[in-house]
Amino acid sequence: MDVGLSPEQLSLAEASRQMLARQWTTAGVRAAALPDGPGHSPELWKQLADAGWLRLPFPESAGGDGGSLIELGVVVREVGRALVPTTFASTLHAALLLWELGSVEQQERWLRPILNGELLATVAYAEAAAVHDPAAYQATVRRLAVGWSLSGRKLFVENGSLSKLILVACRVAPDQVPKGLGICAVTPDDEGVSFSRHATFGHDLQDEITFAEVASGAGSLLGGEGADVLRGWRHVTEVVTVLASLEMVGGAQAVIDRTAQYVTGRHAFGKPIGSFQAVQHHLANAAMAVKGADLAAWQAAWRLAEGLSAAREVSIAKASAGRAYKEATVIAHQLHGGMGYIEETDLHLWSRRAIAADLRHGSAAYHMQRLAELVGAL
Amino acid sequence: MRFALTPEEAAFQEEVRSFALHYIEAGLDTEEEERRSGRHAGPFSPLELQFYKDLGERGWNSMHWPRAYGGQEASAGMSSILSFELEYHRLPQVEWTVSTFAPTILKNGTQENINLWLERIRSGEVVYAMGYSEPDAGTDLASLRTSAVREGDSYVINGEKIWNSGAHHATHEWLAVRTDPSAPKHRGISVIIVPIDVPGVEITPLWTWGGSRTNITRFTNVIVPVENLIGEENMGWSYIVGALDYERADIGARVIGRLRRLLDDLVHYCRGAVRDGRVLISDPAVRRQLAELEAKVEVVTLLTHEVCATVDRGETPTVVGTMQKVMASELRTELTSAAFELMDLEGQLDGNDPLSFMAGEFEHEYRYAPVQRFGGGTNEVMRDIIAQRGLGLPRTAR
Repeated sequence: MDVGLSPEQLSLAEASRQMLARQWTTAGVRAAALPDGPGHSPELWKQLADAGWLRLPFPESAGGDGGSLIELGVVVREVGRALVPTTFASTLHAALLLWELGSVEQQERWLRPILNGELLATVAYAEAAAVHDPAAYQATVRRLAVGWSLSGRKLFVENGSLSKLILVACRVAPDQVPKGLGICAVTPDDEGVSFSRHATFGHDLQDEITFAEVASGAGSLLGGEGADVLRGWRHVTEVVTVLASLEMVGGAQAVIDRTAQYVTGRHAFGKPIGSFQAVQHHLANAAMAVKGADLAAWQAAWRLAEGLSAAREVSIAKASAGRAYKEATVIAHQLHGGMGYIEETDLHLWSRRAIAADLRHGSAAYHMQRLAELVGAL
Repeated sequence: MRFALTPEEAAFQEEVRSFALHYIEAGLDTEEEERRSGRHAGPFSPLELQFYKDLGERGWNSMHWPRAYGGQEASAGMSSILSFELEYHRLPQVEWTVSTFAPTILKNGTQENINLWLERIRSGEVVYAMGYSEPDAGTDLASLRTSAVREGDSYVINGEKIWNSGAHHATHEWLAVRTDPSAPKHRGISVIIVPIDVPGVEITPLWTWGGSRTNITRFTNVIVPVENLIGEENMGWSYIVGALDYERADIGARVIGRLRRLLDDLVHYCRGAVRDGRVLISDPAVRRQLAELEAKVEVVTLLTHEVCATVDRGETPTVVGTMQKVMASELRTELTSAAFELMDLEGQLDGNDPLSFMAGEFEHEYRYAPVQRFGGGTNEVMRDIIAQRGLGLPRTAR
């Protein structure tokens, strides 16, 4: 048993943190935030791509750096700490799906440019009546003489209108092969694709996208005949859920660190308010929850990296992270008093992200319910 | 990174499990439950004696000691497996003297201390009771007043210790005393070993709500030789605080052994119990409650692994060990409280009732759990430590 990061991984964390501290301040976060900002920063994107962050977990043969999910997790935790725009997470999600289910041609066409920082991508899955269960998706592809035709409506597509590649989870029309779940690649410029921007709590870019008989090319469906698309989809979902957990842990730790700094400097009754036991206990509780969530996330990441089953561990990780992040921000507002209430103070940037992040890839309640079914089934 | 046992650890876990099953077949878990619940408080039975002898012969009672002193230099990860499995199987544990005090002697004691005590601790000939708290010095332990006055080659000791749990079966006291009344309170404390059977030591029992016995021990003009001083005079406070860090790994593993067992038993109960025509676990609300506990037990288990990893890196697990202590101790009450609700009217049955589930383990655990929240440092002070040492907040105004 060795639950810690290696010295190299710790160095990677430190270097990543320092780079973001230089390149991505809260001024950048505010400038990128919707409704006035674009939800993205091309300058930062170039820095991250040059540093190889998108390449980290992929093999060298695919244009990656041959690292593991653990190294990627190290970087993602720092992404969460610094509130890097969600284009990083949405593009990574698409890249992981391409790696899992794409053909060599599809990987050459789309994955390689993503890894080089030349292509923003995203994954569209949620619908009005279905979020987590692919069997309930109504968006459908049917075969044309050449290629495929996609119809349906997707909601909450992260950075949909910013992305040049959209991987759409849909059902293959019942009378056709391959059966079941399909992942169809389309571009925003394809005829029949229309966007409508959501207004979200997190001030991040999410779109409703309507696909009206969108014709995509012959090589646009991921996972050839015989491929277990559902299995690949579920695996990638577990991976991005763990990454989301680590991103949240990073954000929550940032909230605790800045709050610790604030209560140390803020005086009342002639003393730093951080010397009062009630204040210390609030922060200690938050720190414990975040530490627990951190370990839970690494355990899940390690199991996935080793190819082990991880449903239980993933749900524990996401539920723990969701609660820890939200609770850390709530208590941070309390400890900042009025200074945490005004827009001028940066704290709310994390508080907004905490809610959005809890709802991405299953809230704490959703994952606790999944865990409940596992406990019941043992 | 490896969130799984190494082959060596897995093999050791198997060995401990078959050892445990052997003693369960012989009925030792039942004897232990009787002892912990307070229904039995007599001298050791032949089976208990056999168990401790067996532990000693396998070297398991001192596995983390240096080889030079008969240990195996086992990692904290390895010795935590022993602690976890013994607790999970409801068996007696390695004596505290071996797990907590002996390492302190090895780290802070003089060569003479080591020569005098180590082998006798390992053989079980010497067992210490922890003589720290006093009626007016509990959480603020450094204000303790029991005095030791040097007279020639002896110390003369006067004072009173409370919550002196091991005194009625220990051979000696590991006694925190004030040796310099004029120094600041943390700098005038020493640790001195006092035989229980010398004149002037008087032990009075205190029975606890948790069923176990503790004691008040009074010292009246008790004379011990100066060679019984551990380490240096007036350095005792650092030894006391340091010993707490030592025990976090083993005690942490014990506590999660207990928590894991309680939760497994609770799930087992919910699979079998029928309430109003329905098996409990078929109720989604019951499963959800079990899931909440499952996630918490898992997180505390991971923290315990981190404590061991920290110790094995040669670092002191102050912050993560403190977090583990706080979370695990509070989870004990939460888990047993949830068990009451799930068991409905049956929850109130104690081990004397033939209808009780698992000899009333949940009701007993509920009564026992509060001591975990203040024992080994009250959770209020533990949270101060997390905030100050972990997050760098200023010292609490006291």
